[in-house]
Amino acid sequence: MGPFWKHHHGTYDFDVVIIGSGVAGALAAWKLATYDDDYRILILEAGDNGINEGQRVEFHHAMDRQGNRGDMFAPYLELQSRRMVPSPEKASSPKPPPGQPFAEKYYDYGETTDTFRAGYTRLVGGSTWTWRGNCPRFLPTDFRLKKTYGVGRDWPIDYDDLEDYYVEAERELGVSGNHDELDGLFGAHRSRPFPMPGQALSYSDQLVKARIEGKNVGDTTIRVTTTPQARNSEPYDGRPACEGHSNCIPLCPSHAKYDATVHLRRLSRMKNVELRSGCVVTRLAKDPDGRVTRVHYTRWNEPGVAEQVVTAPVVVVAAHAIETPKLLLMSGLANSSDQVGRNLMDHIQWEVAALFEEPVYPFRGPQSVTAIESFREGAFRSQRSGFRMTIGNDGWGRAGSPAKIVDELLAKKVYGPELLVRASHDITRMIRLSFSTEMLPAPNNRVQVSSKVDDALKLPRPLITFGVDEYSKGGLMAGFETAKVIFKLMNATIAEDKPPVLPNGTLNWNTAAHIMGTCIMGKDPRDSVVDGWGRCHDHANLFIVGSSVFATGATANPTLTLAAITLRTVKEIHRQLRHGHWF
Amino acid sequence: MDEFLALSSLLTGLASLKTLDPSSVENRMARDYLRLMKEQFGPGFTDLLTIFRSVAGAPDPLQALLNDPRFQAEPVETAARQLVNMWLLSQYGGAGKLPDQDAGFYEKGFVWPAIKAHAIGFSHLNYGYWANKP
Repeated sequence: MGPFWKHHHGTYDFDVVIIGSGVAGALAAWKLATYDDDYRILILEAGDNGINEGQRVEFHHAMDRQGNRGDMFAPYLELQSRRMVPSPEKASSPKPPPGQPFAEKYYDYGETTDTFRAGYTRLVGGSTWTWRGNCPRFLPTDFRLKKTYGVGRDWPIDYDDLEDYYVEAERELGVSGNHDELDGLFGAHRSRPFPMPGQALSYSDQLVKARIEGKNVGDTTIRVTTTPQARNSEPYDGRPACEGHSNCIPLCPSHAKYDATVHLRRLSRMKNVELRSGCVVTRLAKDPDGRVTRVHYTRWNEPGVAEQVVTAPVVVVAAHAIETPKLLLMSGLANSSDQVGRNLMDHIQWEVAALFEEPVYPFRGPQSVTAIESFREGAFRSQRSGFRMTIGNDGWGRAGSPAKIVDELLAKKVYGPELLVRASHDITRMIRLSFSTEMLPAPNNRVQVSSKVDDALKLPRPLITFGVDEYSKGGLMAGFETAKVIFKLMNATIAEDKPPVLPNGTLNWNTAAHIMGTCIMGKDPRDSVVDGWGRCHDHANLFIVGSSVFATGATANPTLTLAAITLRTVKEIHRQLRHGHWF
Repeated sequence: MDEFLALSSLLTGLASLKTLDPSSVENRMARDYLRLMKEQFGPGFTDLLTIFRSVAGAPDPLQALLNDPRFQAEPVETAARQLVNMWLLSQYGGAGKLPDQDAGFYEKGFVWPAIKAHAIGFSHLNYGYWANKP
């Protein structure tokens, strides 16, 4: 007698339907398939693009044709899916003056304090095509912020629950890092070394580290460490070591950086796994007993095909933290707590640009290799956010490109031989410090379903209400003051002394595009959407994976943590499938 | 073409543009950039060439060109700036904004060797090269 779930193969079209093929969806499918390759798994993906190296080359060419090097969407703008399933492309624009329309054509806004600037991509492979690859872990206190500091929420799981899965996620994504630098960071023990050594420090990193390592900012001692990153420091998993294209965002040309196509390609060779692209899920439906077993979708790349339905005893929503709550709200599911869509979070980010006193030669190597983790934790977290600081290897990052330096010189009528001399002088000394802060989960920061529809499929757009809290603003200002001190320690000249929070309360900030919350996990079904296993409180066979389940945002990039949580959730799905809980 | 290259050399400071090998990539770039300048910045570019001719015999042609009152006209200055952007970055834009249009030879922009870097997105080097001073 085989596993219980196999008795019901005739009842359902698939054993598991996964909605979304980004890192959460792809990793969930892969892990399930490795638990039992008889699982019949369907992945439905709204985007429609290839996952092979030819597609990567095509994206690279498309990026070149765009001209604008700062656009994270540039490689993908020519895809038909960009028109059929739109993403927020102008979200990073600041809120316009009163009476002026938002430039964004996808997000809709109600009465909102700020625009929500974080975007994402609806591609086969999800937003991992465009991520930087940074993979720091959360800290133990990040999971018990309320208990430790009296603010935010506590998670139903803690660091120890995830540690084994962090190890596994680092192996699956291929994370390079230096174990000894990070083992025990603010209590975050590591049971295994990284699968690869940390990235080589850039020439710039070496100069900076020599000047600031071990020095103090207030009571805090600066430690420059190599950021763990899903970027190969040696050949790994059939992919090459990083070649240092300095183009991690918006596209790694060599595939040294992990993206979800790694797992999707493996899945494409498995007999019982199917990926259907161009499929926008429009509704989930439940049975009379409350189990969500029917998935309705529209296949836009096959015109004339009516809405289709597939069934499965387990449904996993992995559509990131905007589309996931939107789908649940459109379906009227999983929301007895009224928390679906609420607690929308991002990492509020700012960067300070400076000129080093000698050339550091940026734009060579990964866009960032090192970070200062020292400011993430402390008693101050009861009052304001900590921050994680990265040291750029890409000039001024978003604050200024080589083109900007050249343009400013031309505006001053610097032409002729002097032009390249001065441009070279400034560009080779460009350096930045960036810092990302934590937002507290707030019910009024939320995603709802707009009455406005998108242009192509006439599906509802997300309605966003969002405001940056004082907690995060406090962290931003602390990061700004700290960056100024650090630049002084390294004897660099700050290029633009522009604070993130102005005296009149106006806020300057960048998005880290780390969208979190909206389907948060918790022990109490009355104030959370999923339990610690990612299972909806309201529907025992409906799971959510991705950063939408985060109860707090912490200061670390979310991907590694969401990958670890996904692996943990999949283990539970497998366990329950085998025991036939929902048949 | 010779006049275009001479103007380009004057504005960019790139002496090598005066003596391009006809079979070189740079010569193809010059042909394309000349075409783009005519297409995108026609009147301003025409005036820029007129001013250039008038200052060609000056002791310091660059300063003479920059100081010419006709150079202050927005279309002329825009044409000059975008011509430089093409050579340095293989990108161009319009008045008052950073270049955001591709001129076709991004990887060959002259800014990259000047800052001892490769064009962003076009490394031809091996892992770890970035640890060393270029």
